[in-house]
Amino acid sequence: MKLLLKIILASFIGISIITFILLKFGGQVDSFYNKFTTPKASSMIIGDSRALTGIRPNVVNKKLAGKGFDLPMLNYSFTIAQAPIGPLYRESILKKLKPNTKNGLFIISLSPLMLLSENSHDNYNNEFVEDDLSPHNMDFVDINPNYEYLIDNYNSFHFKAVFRENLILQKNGWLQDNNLPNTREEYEKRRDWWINSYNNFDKRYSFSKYRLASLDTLIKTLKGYGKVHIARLPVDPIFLPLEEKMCPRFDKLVDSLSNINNVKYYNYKNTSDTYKTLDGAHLSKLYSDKFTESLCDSILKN
Amino acid sequence: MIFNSLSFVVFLVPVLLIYWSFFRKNSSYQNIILLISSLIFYAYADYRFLILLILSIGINYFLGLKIRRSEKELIQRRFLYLGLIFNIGLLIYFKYFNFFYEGFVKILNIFSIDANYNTLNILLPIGISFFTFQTLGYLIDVYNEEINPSNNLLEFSLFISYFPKILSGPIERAKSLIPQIEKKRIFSYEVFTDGLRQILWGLFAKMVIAEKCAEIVNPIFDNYENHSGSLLLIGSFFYAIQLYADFSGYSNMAIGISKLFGIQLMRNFATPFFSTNISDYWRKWHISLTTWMMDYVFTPLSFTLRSYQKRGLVISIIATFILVGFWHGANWTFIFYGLLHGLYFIPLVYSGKMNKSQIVAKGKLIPSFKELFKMLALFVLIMLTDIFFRANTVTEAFNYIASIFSYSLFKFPNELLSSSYLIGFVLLAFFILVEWKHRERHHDFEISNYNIIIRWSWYIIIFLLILFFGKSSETFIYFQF
Repeated sequence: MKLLLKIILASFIGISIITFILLKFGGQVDSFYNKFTTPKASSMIIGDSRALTGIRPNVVNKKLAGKGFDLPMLNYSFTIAQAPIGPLYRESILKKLKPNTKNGLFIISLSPLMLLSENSHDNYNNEFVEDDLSPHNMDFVDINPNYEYLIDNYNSFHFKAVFRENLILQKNGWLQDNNLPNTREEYEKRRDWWINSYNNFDKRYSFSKYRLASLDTLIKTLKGYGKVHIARLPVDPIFLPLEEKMCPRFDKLVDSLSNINNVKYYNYKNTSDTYKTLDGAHLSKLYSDKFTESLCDSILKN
Repeated sequence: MIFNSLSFVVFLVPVLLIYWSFFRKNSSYQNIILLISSLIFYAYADYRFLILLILSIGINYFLGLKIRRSEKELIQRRFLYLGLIFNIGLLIYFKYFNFFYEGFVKILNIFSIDANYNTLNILLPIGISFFTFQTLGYLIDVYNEEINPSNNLLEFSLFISYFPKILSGPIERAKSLIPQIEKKRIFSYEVFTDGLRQILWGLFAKMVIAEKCAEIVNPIFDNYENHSGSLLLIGSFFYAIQLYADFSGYSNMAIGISKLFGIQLMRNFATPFFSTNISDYWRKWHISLTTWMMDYVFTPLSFTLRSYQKRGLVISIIATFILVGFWHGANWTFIFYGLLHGLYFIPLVYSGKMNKSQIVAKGKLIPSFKELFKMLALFVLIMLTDIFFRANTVTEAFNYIASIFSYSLFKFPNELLSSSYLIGFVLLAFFILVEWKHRERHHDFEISNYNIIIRWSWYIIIFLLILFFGKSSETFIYFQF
């Protein structure tokens, strides 16, 4: 009995410490945890890490308030490893979506990488590289604190991040990256790292017709809940030929798909002079609000 | 299913509950649940070799009985040889076949005999070096009449497959473990809580210290040609600590888990870096392997070579340590590692100081200057030798050492100022201080005599350190052996 009480007490202390950290510093200790602690949403930003850092829900809420959309907006973007277009991501979006939504706004931020699939995987046979990662390994996406996420994704947590604020995931799902490059050299070093990653990507991944068809399904599904808009975010021009090589005729494919579905496609790929990135691929937090405002203006025009 | 994983907790808790509730009536019930759990645990690690484990249990059980029941000494010896051939054969086939095969073909090539080879794609059954040494020791002990053979297959099966130690030891001895299995285990609050403490310290050593060291060590060793001598020296320092924290952490967890079932496994590490000579170091490092080698290799060999006096002793030591090195894997790096350690004994043999074992600064807070100097000198020697343990080839190890002792040894490594290194040094200092404080105790975190507030403060500090600085990797260094 004495032992049982002590084990219960020790467990209680341990769980209390963890719970306190999750509640107080959830946005710092993990780059996605907060996304699964907020209530279900009616409007969402969908995409990979470009959207995760590049599109700010608070700006959308401000710019589009009173325009007939069910706001507030939630940024439900992840990284390219987690969020290629496919049935798994669609299922997760539907889990996070309020079921009775009618006037939602859905901004799908697309990059060519989101239509790639690992060469060894047969998508038609339900083989997906993102299978074991969050948000696909979760049943509960709107509970606070979310112990399911903690248990299933423990290795992605960095509890010592309570002492620093390099990356902060806001409650609205936007990832605030405070780690800005101080010099041109630092920027180029980061960009080179991504170029190297792209080249490695190119060896292992190739365009997937299945994912393109999934994009069509996703658009059609979301149209049942409101308006859908597609955007391609700014990147350093050095990436464009690489992306074209990995996913040939990407813009044409998305254009034709958006025409078929009668949704708008806003292509910002050549605007990196106006909207600067911190590493060539991700918008700097200093420009993400300006970019989001511009995107909202485009949405309002249409 | 590694000890520091959630899946292991999910496995362990129900087994413990069943063990201490429904199955606590007698030893047979307890052994049944432990055996079933052990087989599930092993199958979870690698189900393909469960048959091999069961075969090994069956054959060694049968041979143990045959050795004792045979009346003629010649027949007994034949059964022993049969057992040795079977067990060593298993090891050679699964672990050393390609090594010997390659060596044989290279020798043929030296004599201009044209021979090509394709190595076989043989999977290494997990834990084979550990459970095979256990069965070998058992058969030799039965033959030497040091123990009676087990005539209970359930108990014998559990002796071999007991899950806390099947994957990476400690290499248990029949005369210590089987008597514990034969008796009914009675729940002891003190033993249980001591086990939990030992698990906590093992988790800290593995998840915080070993993983932090790995974070520093891997980039240095993987790209050693491009680093300064000073950074390479620091890399070898962290690797020596990583190796210790990884394996001692695992051993502490294994021993602690076993205590939860009321079974005491042998101590595997006794703060080995607090030694003042190499002989003392090996009395405290991987104790279950070194005592095994001492009993079954060194003692018979030195007895055979006794007429050669000190030279015979040196030969026995070197041969034993080459075998210790070779036990770790089929690679010349391990043979070199063992050879070097054997050579380090020579001054001790000739100065007659080999058998002097002591706890450094016993009863004192800090060591004397002389003791400190000896400990540091020994540590430097060990960390340089560990480079052979980490390197892929002997040439690579020599190149690494040669790069250390270059002009760049005196260049200040800027990496030292990075937060990663600074955190690493602070954590290491904490780890070493705690180990130093408890060096005279039964294990590194034996704090049962502290008052409750201090004890619980320790638990919370260790928990927070694991939470903030811990990493969970999928393996332990010694799993590959």
